[in-house]
Amino acid sequence: MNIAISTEPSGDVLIIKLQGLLNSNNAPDLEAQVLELVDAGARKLLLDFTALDYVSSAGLRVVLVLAKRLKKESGHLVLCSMQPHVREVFDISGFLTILNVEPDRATAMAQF
Amino acid sequence: MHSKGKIATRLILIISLSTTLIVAVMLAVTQWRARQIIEQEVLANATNMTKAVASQIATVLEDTTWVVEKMANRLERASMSDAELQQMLQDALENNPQIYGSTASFEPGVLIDGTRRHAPYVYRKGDAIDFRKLEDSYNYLQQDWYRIPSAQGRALWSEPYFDEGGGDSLMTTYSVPFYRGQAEHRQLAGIVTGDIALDWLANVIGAFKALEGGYSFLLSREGRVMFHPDGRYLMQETVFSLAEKMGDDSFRTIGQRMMRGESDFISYTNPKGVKARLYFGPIPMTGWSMGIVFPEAALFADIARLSLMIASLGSLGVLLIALVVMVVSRTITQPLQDLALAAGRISGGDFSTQLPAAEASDEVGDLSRALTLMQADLQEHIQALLATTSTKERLESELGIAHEIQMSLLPRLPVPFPGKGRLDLYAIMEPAKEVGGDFFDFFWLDEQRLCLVIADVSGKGVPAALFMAVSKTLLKALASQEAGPAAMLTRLNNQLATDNEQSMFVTLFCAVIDTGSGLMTYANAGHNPPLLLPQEGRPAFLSSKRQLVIGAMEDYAYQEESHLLRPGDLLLLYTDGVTEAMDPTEALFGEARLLETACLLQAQCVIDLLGCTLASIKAFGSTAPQSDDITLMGVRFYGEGLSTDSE
Repeated sequence: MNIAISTEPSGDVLIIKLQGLLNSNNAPDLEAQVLELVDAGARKLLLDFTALDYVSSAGLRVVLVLAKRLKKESGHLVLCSMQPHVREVFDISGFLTILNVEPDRATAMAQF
Repeated sequence: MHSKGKIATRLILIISLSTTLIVAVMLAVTQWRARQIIEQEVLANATNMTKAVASQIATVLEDTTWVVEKMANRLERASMSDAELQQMLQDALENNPQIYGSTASFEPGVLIDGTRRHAPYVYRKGDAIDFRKLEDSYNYLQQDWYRIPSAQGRALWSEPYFDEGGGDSLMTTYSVPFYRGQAEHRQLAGIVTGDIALDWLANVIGAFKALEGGYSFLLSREGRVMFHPDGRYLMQETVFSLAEKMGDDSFRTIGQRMMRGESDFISYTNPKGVKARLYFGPIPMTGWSMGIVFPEAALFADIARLSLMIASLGSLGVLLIALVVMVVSRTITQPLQDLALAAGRISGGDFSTQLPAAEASDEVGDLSRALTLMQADLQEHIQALLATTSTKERLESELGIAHEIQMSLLPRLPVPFPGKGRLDLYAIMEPAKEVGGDFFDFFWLDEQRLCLVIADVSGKGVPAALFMAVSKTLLKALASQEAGPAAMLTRLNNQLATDNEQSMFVTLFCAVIDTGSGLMTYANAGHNPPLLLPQEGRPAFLSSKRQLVIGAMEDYAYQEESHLLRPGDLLLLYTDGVTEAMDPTEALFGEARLLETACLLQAQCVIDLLGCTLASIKAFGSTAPQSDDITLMGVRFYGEGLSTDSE
């Protein structure tokens, strides 16, 4: 599936580290996993993109779905540490205008 | 049929062989035991018979010895006159009918009147009793009946002899010596005798009817044949002379043992090869020996008959058992055979086959039930498989239809493009294997203005295709109502974002070109920026504001920008299927390579430029599967200057 995720709680924030390639093949899987975390009660989520090498439009959609869901639940989603070409995808698609994207973990944690 | 034959044959063979063996062993043991019993019985019979014969002979002989010894007693006690002597002898004959003749013969010189010999003999002549003097006819002193007892000094029976002069019958004589004087003066005075006939012996011995082919015989003290069924041997032969004649040493040995008074029960094979059992035993007082011969054939005839009967019964039993085994094995193998046939039909695909013997409580029943279960499971699995296959086929055909619908939604591309001489346009879409979400569109807003759209719906498959269809249709409808691209996208976004449960979105580039002035107004909703290849100057990606994709969030205000196209300028629009095409090492085709490729092809007409670019992308991808739709759209602006040329 060439994507791996690992979670790591930090206070009331749940950090989700993404690793590998996020494309239409594994996007539905990732969507199910993150939504499950929200169902389980997570409200403050930090998506750490440090190790994510590629994101497709299907991957963007997962982030959008997650953002909308947390908004509905009065939660908070922050993204951080994107590699330049990944950030480019978020930029082109205009997602940077609606999402909270921070350059690193520290600034991201400060957002909560 | 072979398998059935095999089990039945094996069972019949094994069981028949073992029963035959058992019957044979039983037969052998029975025969051995029966022979033993018969031999014991025969031995007992022979012993009894010999005793009976001996006792009869003893009765006759004892009477005689008693009479003769009494006479010897009288002769020792007192001297008698000739008349008295004759009277005594005559009385003995008259009182004892078995005595044939009797004499009192004296030693010379014993009698008072000197040296004369005297041997008065009284004997039977017909029914009468006659008298004669033996000294007149022969020297009695030399006769065996006188000589042997006087020499041995004891009474004894003579060897049997055939009296030709007397009764023409076999005779024997009991001789008793008598003495005169006291102590050292005691000396032999003479011999007193009693002759008896032995013709009755034949009746006594012959009365015992031995087995068929069997017979009895009697030998004298010296081995002379006293009685034998074959009359020729009578008194003519001894056992030893016969052994000599027949050249049979064992016969001689038997004779010697009989002469010694032994008794035994032995096996004996005569020179003619006939096997027989021989019993022999002594007759007391006489020194005679009696033999009884039992031919084995007759002796064991009953056993032979019994054995034959047991053997036939046994064979019949074995045959019967084989028959029963055959029937039983058939009842076992027939259901197995039926099961095998049924299993064959099942493997042939006939699942309605009713398996036999399902109610049986034995192992065959277990097998049948197991097979029935297997049959049901198989049927279930196959039906599930068929269902899955048909579902997959239906899905595939539906996807095919979806794909066709998607393609039919794209505008047809007339060649050459009816650009009124002011521009040329062409587009290519190379869909990925699955139904994708790319689309493009172009339509005239009025005589002057052409609207271009290229878009990519997030995700793939049927949902993406549906979203694409909705987006494309809506946009075209909105185009006629709204003033410019930004307004069109803002309204499109609001409509798509409302109730967008799936959070699907579409990246979209929309441009309106005024073919008169060359002014292009455009709005980019998260789409890859188009490549601008100007007639003069450096090729570059069209700068555009980074704006949100369509459908992500309501109430997003899109803004538009503008660019003035010069005649000869080329605009290349594309989707991320182009820049994100991968080679087998997962390297991306990328913007730089696209720019480079397009620059090289800038001089070509739009159709060729797109075709060659697509070929380059495919060559780059090589064997790697195409993962996304590849869409290319090219527009070359000619402006007013070329309008007359093209028409």
